[in-house]
Amino acid sequence: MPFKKLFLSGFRGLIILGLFFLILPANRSLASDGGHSLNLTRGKGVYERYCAGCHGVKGDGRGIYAEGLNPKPRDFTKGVFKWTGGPAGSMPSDLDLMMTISEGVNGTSMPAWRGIRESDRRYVVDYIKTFSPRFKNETPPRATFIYPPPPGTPDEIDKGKTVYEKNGCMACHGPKGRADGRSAGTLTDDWGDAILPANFSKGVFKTGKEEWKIYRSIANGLGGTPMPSFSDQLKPAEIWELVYYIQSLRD
Amino acid sequence: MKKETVMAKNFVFTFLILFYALFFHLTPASALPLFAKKYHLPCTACHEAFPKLNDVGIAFKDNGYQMGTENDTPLQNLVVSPFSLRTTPNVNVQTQTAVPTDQSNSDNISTGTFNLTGLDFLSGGVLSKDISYLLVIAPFLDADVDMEAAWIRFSNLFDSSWLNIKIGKHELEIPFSQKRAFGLTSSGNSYLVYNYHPGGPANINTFNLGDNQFGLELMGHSQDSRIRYVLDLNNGSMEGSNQAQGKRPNLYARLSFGFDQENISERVGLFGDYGYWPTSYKTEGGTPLPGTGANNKAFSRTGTDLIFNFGSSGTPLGSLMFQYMYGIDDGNLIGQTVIPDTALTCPSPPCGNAFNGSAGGSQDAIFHGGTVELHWMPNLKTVLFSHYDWIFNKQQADISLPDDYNDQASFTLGSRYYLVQSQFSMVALHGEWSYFASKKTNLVTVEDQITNTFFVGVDYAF
Repeated sequence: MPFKKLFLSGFRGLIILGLFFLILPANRSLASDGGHSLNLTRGKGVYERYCAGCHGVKGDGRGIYAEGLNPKPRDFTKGVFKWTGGPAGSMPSDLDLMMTISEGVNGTSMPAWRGIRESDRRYVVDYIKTFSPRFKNETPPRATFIYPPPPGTPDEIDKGKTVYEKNGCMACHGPKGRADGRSAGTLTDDWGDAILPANFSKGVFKTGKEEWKIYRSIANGLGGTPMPSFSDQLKPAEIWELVYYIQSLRD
Repeated sequence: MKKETVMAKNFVFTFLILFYALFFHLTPASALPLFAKKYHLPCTACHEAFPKLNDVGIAFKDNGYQMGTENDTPLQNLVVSPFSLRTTPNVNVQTQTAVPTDQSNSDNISTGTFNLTGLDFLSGGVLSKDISYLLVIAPFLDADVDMEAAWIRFSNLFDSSWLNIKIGKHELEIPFSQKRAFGLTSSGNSYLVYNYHPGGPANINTFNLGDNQFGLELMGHSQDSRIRYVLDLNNGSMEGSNQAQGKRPNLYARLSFGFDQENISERVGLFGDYGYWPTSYKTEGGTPLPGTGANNKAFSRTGTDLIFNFGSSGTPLGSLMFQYMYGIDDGNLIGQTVIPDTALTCPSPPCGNAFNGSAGGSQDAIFHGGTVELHWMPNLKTVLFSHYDWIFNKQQADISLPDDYNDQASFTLGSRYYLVQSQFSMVALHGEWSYFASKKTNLVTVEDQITNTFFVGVDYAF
């Protein structure tokens, strides 16, 4: 075959195939514009590729890779999530779930899935919500207001130490925040699995090192764990003092 | 009927039966388990289909093999063995046309053989937070051992994803990685534009964009790796020995952007390499002394690429990829085109006439070429792939050469069916046909040379 003819035929062939491809997804997108259910189909595809290995195809936290993971992957069927905008045990908003998916959970096997297309992360959120009837029956409360932080002065840290000692934090987290309090070895989560309190000396916080996230964990507590909400017990200024003190416990 | 023809027909028939049986009746595979084991994830978390990375895999690689959750270092994530192995036992049949031999100026040669694609031992991971490494050792069947990659990377300098430094032997951030191509034949797993040298064997510049290079890479990316840049200083295909000391380093650069839509994502990029190659050396007994290269002459490669990924992150449908590259080599890099001494007497003109009086490069050699590549995943276990590559010479350095001397084209068509894709292992059945043609490269008869390769193998890694 003449060389240029070969070139042209090969080039044209692949372009035509490529155009076929361009048409193929376009048709699928028309189909998916119809409504939410098809987005769930898409969310299911993303979930099964990235999430089901640990969280299980049924969302029960029993994926084929779940055994041996510590902490265990979240069981979505109970509709209980650690990080919510409202008090522990309340429903998470889509934004709460998006943040956990996108940023991961530090110190655990849950990666930050930023590489997944944003729209697909949203579809996964939709799909995760199908595992528990709570999402049909309840709505997320208004997110806890996080007051502006005061300057983190040594005086604030000292006050935080007092707050820490007076409010029973030591019982679990230990006097120096090393997760060695007298109750530390007895804690279990809502599923009956042993759970360790956070070790502040490592300076690794599950949701990241941003101060407002530590504030949120203290104020709201962590759903499904023994960590209670302190929003009724502590004033916002005291929570900030506690945040600064906890940060100061890093080795 | 010739024996070779019968063998080839039997081979194709067997391949079709095997392919049909596996395609319709079995279930499939994945990625290199080096990281899958560590993170308790299936290969498909980071690979669209092994070995092609998806967006998550690119972000993971860009972040220094870290998932970014303080769970990456050996202390926090104990791994029994950070080693992995990959090879592909195969059978391949190859036919070549217009090959000059001692017996004929133009012979057709067919071969059929059982073989291995090579054997890669890989070790990689995180040494400490934001310090990662990769070692790839590739011993060949003839007992040569190639250190294919050996680098260390310091990631997220000054707590910024825009500053990462890698030093050692590494793959350049070219648009289409030759280490991650689906194809396994020599045409299928390489791209002509990355490895082309105008003037053919007469060109002393052996720089290949597709080869791993000794050098230093500065790289940065957005958190989701949709925006990426790379600046890379390297030896330019001169191995890390003293030989490179007389050569100025190459500068490679790349900038790419990614855009996501509902059912399609696009990646667009620019790349370029500017380098030099020495044209003279001090010698001892006629042998060039390492480190004495001088009279460096320039060459450049400039290109652009566009990639469309179809489907969702969870259920990818395939990709359509384009690249185009323009290359210039200084004429002084190209010597005289020599007709082999073994050439038999030409039976009739114009044999060899095109190369009579070749005097070497008197002007810059200019060429351009590109790739169109298509992947289709009809299901999550199967990949059909093809790519078409071409090279056209715009200007020969040696004016006595025909304009189209050593123009090239290649076409690859193949399929992979993944039997296993777990966190521990990957097994894929692989079938491929590739075609390669080069214009007038039989220097005796001035004929085009064509190579056809049929390949069937089992690609596995653990």
